[in-house]
Amino acid sequence: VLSACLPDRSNEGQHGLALGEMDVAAKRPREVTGLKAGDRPAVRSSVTRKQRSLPVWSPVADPKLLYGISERLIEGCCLTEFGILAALRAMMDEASPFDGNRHHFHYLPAKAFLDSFALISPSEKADTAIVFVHGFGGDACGTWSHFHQLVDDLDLCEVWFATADLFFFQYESVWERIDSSVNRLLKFIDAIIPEPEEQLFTVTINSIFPEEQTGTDPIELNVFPATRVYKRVFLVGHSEGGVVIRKAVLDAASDERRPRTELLEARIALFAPALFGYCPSGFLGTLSGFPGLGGIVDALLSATPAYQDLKDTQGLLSPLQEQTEKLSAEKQRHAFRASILWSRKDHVVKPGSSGKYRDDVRDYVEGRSHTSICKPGMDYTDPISLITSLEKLFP
Amino acid sequence: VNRFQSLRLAQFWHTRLNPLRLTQDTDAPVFRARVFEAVGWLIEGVFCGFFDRLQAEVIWARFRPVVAACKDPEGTMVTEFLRSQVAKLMVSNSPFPESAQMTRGPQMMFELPLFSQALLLGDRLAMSRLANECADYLYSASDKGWEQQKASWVSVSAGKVAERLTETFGGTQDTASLLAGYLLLLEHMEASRSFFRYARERSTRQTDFESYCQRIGGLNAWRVPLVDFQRRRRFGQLRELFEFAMRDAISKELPSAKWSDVEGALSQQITSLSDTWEAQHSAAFLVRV
Repeated sequence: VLSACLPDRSNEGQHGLALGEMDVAAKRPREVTGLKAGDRPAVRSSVTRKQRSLPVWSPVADPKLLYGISERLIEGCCLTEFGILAALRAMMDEASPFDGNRHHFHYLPAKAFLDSFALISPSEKADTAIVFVHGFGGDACGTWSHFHQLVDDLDLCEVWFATADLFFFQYESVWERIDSSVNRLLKFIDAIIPEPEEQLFTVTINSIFPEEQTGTDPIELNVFPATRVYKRVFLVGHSEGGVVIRKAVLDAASDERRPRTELLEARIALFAPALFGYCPSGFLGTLSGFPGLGGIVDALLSATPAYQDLKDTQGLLSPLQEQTEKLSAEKQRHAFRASILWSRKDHVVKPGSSGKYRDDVRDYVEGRSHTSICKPGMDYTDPISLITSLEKLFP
Repeated sequence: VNRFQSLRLAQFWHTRLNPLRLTQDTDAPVFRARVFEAVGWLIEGVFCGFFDRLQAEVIWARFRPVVAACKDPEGTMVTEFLRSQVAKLMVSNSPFPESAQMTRGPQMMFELPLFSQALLLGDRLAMSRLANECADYLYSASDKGWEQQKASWVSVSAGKVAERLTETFGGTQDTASLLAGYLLLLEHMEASRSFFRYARERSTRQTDFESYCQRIGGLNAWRVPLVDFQRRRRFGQLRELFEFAMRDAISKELPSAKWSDVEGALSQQITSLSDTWEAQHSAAFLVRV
């Protein structure tokens, strides 16, 4: 697309552009290593470079020419065709040694999914989509804090996440009723899986250049290094997000107009899900013990419709369990089962009598609150392990 | 090729620079602070190799007139270090020379992987309408207007605050929206604290964590007004407004609970957040160039 707005310079020797193969920094192959309790996971301390070929634009740029262009740009504050050329050539500069293999943070268009964002793998072979759904009063960033960094920092999971794109869904958990949030989530998932909608993952660069240089045709960069078709899907929810996910799966299963095979085959990991209702009596206890703001805001917003839904186990939550268990017995779909991690000191959600649906798997963790249970750290990798172990758990 | 460098810069342009270019409210102190902060992110992004320096020159050429139109920002909103960096950029023919960028080594290895997350947090704070309105009000309200506003705090409704927090477009500016903005500021402060805690864990003896805090934290330090005495006092007073709303929420939703059960924890939490913000962000104002 970009080449269309450039003059033909194929005969200009070293200043020309050519489509070809170029070596880029690539990941060091590693084995996925399990950690024992108490182990401190290794953080990547160095990145070795390995040759890998990707079809990319190959630059043969003359630095002097580029500097000359830059000076003209600054002095005149106007862009010529060389301005675009400089940008394109710069685009082809050598890969940075320390972050060429890290996920790229892409903000989804606000008009479609305000405040949702994605971590895009640099791998052409990425075939895994992981959708994170936050809980009551949370958000796409804070709820999952450190996931964004650790997927690229920890040896434990670096290889596993190298072929995965991570999508952090944001919705108005506080004010909307569950059904509305479910509807939003399904739209979000439909826009991503199995093939992401192009307009959500392109960045238009027209406004960077004066209009006379770009014309009216949009010049767009796609964030994916290659066409994506997700074969593996993971849904990860915290608190109310767990309810939203399970209801979305039920809705998808009952929607005969649109088969959502990938969604129904999704593996599900849930952190302290509100599947059995909130526990108002522990409300203030959580507030006083919580180190961050989430609990305080939860407290402030306790009288909202979503909260009422979660208290009303007869109206929403019990049927959700009954239908999910029924479908799980009838149809062998991954999405009817979940792996759940509970905190032993959770004052916000009720674990129910069993802490799980019939076909779920559950585990407990020590020393984590309702809000910190889903936040991995250097010394707390359980949230990451919960996701990476799903395929073994539900083969 | 690091094609992501191009995408990062294009995204940064759309998220930060272009909206400022289109607004150009150059007389407003808050606008000038936003402009300098955005240029600061550009400078730091190029410095650590997150943005490509040659592409950044193209972007800078397009954005430079906006900076040129801005008067000098307030000393309590833009750090001396950032001001000097922008001044250098303005007069330079080669704004981002290779020789001035961070060399490959432990510091780059420390900073570069963190930049995405730092920018994400900075962007989310910058794009938070309510948090921005709250900060704007703290900076711009007259003493008389502030005192009048305070008189209405007693009757703040927790339900209305919840409404304001979830309005996508909003537009209503009242006591409830002021508190909603304050809560979002606190949320961002918590997110920032968590980020710097993580960064510290990643740092080694070969890296300069203090310098990192001063340069990266200093960029958006002004968004929580703790440097200037008057605005700092106002920011501190918003805790009272929060308490009024909490009392209201508790009396309506949890009548059996006592305010005193949470009062201490709430106060401790907010004080702790403010202290951390000062150490990791506002401390950059103490650095003299």
